[in-house]
Amino acid sequence: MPRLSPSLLRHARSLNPLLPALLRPCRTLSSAQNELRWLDEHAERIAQKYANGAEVLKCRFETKAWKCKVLRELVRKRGLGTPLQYLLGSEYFGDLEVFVRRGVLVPRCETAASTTHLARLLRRAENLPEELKLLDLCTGSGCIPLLFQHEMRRRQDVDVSCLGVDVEERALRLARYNLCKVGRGNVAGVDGDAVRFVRADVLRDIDAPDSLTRVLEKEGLGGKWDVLTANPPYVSLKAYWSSTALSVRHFEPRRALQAHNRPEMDGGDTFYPRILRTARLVDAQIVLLEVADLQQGLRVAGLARDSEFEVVIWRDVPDQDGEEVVGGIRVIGKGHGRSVVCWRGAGGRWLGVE
Amino acid sequence: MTPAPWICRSCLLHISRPLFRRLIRLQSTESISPGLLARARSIAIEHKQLTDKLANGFDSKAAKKLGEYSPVIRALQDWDKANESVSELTSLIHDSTTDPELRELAADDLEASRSQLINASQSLTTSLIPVHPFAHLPCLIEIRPGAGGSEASIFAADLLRMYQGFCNRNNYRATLLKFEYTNGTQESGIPLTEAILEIDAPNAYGMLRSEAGVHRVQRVPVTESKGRVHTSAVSVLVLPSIQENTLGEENFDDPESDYYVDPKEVRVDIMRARGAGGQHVNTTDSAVRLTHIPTNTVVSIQDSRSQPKNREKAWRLLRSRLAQARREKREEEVVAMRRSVVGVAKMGRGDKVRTYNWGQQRVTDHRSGMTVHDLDDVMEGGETLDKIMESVRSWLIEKDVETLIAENAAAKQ
Repeated sequence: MPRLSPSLLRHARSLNPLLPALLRPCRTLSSAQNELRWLDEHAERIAQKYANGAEVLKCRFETKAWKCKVLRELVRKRGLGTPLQYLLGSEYFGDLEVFVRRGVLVPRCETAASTTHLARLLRRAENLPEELKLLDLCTGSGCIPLLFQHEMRRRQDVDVSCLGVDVEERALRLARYNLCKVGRGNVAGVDGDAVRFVRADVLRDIDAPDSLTRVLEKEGLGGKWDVLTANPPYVSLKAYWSSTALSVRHFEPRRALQAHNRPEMDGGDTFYPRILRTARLVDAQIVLLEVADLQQGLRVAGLARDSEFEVVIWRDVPDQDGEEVVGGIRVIGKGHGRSVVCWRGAGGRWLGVE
Repeated sequence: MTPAPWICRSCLLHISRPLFRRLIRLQSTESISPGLLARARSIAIEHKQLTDKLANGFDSKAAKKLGEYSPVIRALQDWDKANESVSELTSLIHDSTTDPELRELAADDLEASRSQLINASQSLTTSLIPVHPFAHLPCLIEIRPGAGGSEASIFAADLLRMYQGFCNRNNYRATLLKFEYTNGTQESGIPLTEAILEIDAPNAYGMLRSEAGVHRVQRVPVTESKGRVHTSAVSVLVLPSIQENTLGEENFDDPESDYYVDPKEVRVDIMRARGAGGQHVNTTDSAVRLTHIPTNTVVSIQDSRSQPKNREKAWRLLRSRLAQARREKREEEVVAMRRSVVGVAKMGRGDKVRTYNWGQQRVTDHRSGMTVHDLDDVMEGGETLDKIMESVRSWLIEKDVETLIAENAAAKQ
């Protein structure tokens, strides 16, 4: 990473003494200024909350001084690399504001782009089943089912029900919290009853008590699932040490980025065979899998073809023009190869590819 | 060797010119300019395509266009028919095998067909003239006294009454937006400094735009004590009344609207994560930049942490910026029109468009050259005024035809 030039730092300091600290993670002045503004708004909210509390308790409270203190602390933490989303407590995922906490991966905008695109394709589709069921593996904060539900809300004739699966209790707690926050009062229009979250381990063998199949049977959720999505840990060991950002390595859970404690055994592909096996088991018509790059995408596409799926790869921005064929597989959109979309049976008609 | 006789320069110039210059009257020639004819033919082809399109499904835009083209098509059919009969008759006459009696009959018919062809080409030419873009709009008439002092002010009030009478008779809704009399009161019949009349009827602008200009009056004013005839002038401005809602403010999907932006003309740049993206990095950059390629308008928004919100805001901003630019351009056109109608220097008695002469009880329009003698009826906005206005409108059309032909000739070169 190139060094920040002293003149830039000087200029930033002249604009606001807090800016140089933010330049370290942000690298550009405009994004540092944006982050400072968002942090300032957040500090204002916190201080206001305390001020209201102080009013109730009838004690003296210096709102302005407090706000300055809070802001300085936030900037210090951000300067050390804490993701902004953890400091502010939320992240925008598509049209939704999803809450985030330490220990759970922050939803990424690329995931939002592919989820939104999938939901928009399905919204236009004809002869969808009356009840469309979505199974999301490695759900984390629960962002994918919530956004899918939100996007499909405009389709009146189809009832969407979603199930999110994760192995981490912390992630499940956050997902349920998000469901309650987003679903309550129907502000964003997510139907609370139609989304559930359960704990299961995707990597376990079928016989283990907490394996996915066992859990689904136990919860009475077995049977057919129309759409399967997953944003599994996919970072390879090499990429973890070379191209993964420092703040991600230091602050986001490694379990959400890498398959297990010995990732050197493979290039981050651990999850995909299991997910595809599950997809066959639940008879999924559409499978959307996020991948690290085009190379991994092509590997996963090969796996999917072996399990008799049709495959296309979406890039970061799938709804923009751009199409090519790489290794016999259609790649659509702009940016890095990001998602592998597989379908069979009726799925092709729903996606509008047939 | 005898030297060439000396010839004066002007004689030389005369020799180089043809003896008789051909006088061309555009309107009465039976032949139509080939450029115009080609244009009519292309319109006919487009008309056919539109008809086919409408047969498959209704489209209000296509239907509107079809309605605009239909007079051209009708005129073209008439012209074709007349042209064919003329050429047939001519060939019949020139054919030596035709028996003389038939030839005589054909010669009689030829006269009638010729005049038909002349009419047909005339109507075809007029139908080809593009309708004024604002002709369908309601209009504003502004009346201000020019040279002539208080007599001009009195005549301005008379003109206002004339137009009010005209609107009443034709059932146009006319509202007086602004009127000021010289002594500050608002009684009628006394000198007027300014009046703006809004005529809220479809096609009002197309109907009344011929009224714009300086109207001259010649009479013995009531303020005159010695019985001398005075000449005064009043300027009349006719402007299309462009209201916000006539252009469909909020309708983003209507290509006619100011707010319409073709998504194909806009490049969307989203600031994507540096490096590998996905789980590898955690970006907070949510900026969206839109570039409208034809006008090179750039809008960049990074206020919100949510990219969809930024995008929505950027589109809104881009739309309103482009709409603003379009509106300014249109207003400039209106201002240019206003200047061309009545410039500051054009307020005198000389640049008149019409004269109202009380002594001879006549009204003469100087553009069409028409004179009528029923002055009282004109001043009441009666049918005689209609007659004059009609003549001016046809004069305007003639002018338009001339420019159309000139444009065609220029395009060919």
